[in-house]
Amino acid sequence: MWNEFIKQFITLKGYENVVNGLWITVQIAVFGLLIGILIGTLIAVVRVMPKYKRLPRILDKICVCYIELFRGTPMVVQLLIGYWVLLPALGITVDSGVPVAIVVFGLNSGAYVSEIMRGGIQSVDPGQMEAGRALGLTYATTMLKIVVPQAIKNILPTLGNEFIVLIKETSIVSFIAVTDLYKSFKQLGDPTYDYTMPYLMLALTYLVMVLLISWGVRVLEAKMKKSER
Amino acid sequence: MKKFIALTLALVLCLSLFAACGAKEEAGAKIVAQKGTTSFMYAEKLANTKTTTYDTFALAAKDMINGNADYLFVDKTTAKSLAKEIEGLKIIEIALSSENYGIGIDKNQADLKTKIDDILKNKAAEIDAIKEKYMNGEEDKYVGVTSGTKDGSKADKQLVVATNAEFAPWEYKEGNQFYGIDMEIAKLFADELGMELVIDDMEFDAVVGAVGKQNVDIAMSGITITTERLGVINFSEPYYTESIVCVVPAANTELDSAGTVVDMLNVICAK
Repeated sequence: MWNEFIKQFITLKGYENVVNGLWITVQIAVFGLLIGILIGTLIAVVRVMPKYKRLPRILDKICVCYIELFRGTPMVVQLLIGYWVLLPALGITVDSGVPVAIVVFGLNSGAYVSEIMRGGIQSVDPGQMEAGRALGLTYATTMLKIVVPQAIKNILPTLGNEFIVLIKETSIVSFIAVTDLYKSFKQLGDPTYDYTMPYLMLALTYLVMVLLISWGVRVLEAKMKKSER
Repeated sequence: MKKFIALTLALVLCLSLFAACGAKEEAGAKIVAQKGTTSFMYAEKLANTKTTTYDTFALAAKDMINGNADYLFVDKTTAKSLAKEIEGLKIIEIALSSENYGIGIDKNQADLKTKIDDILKNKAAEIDAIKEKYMNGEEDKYVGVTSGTKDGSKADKQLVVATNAEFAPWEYKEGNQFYGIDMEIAKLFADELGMELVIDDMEFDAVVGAVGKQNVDIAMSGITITTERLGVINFSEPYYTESIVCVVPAANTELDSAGTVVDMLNVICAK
């Protein structure tokens, strides 16, 4: 069992596929999260805006629809629709499903991050906003320079959690013919139909990645706490 | 803090550059096939090409039609069946390889192999008739096969067949009935052996590995006899000789002038 795995992994150069797969998995999770944070922050800011005027009210409704749509359907279904329905409908051709996966993961995590971010913004003392406005800053400046940075500090552990969820969920991209970490390990077992070692190693790789991320988040948190007394 | 943000942004930029370069390296022809099939194994060995796998051949063909790939490698009979269902496919009628389909049999049931080989020999005329009607598309003669429910306590009275029912004309599903050459032959086996037929529908790359586990007795899914597979399961004598062909979108004329396999592979590998 172990010898067979070593043969597939090292002698037959299976590790090259695994490294490629790892790289694709990391790419999808990292870029997905970055897009997600961007979209999430935008939506959260729109949703906490004061609603006396009509425009913020309409924007708020649109954002709620977006969040419900992406939280209400499984990510697999979103991937399948993105790749098999939207891509041909828009007439776009791609070399591989990776860009589609990045966009879908970004849009999906945007919906989740926006709720996390909204909680973060609302957890910042309203006095901060009032003080900023009283000093003559505009609403947008106060929001982006004073409230959002404090919010990000508060939600960092939850954001780390979202990244962990995202990196584990990437294992579904084989639905759109992308060779990610899961598929590259699975291919090591295909010639012998013995998946014991490949799957155990796959689990170990994900575990190591997740442990690294949690460690990174802890370090970042400690660094940001320095401004507190 | 600002330094930290600047550093992170720089890192992200570097990563994106990397990603962009990585995408550019992937030149050459893009071949698609179903995962775990001999068509995929064949395509994978070609130099200067990139092979992508899908759950079914139909999905691979769809993605090629959508413009995301150049060539589809697939078994010839299945290629014809796909061309009937999906518009805009062109089959290049040059055999890339010749291979034998066999029935995968549990290694621990030596007597089952003898019985199945006997039926293949004795009922050759009936089996040929089944093949004929599917190859000629005589749809009014197709007979649907119903699967029983798998019951571990009746293991010796049930013939459990592992298949991937997405591979017309060999096996496919319409409603709750199984159709196809393999399915009708499986029914014949079950009748001859006096057992209840149970069809276990799964992904193709799981079919071979499933035999001998969870009461699965045989595998019939247009399976090519290969040495790798012989390491895991036993095979019946061949019951069909198949070839792998290349399928392209109808608008593609690159392979029209190719007369031989070598011509064709030269075009594919030089893209």
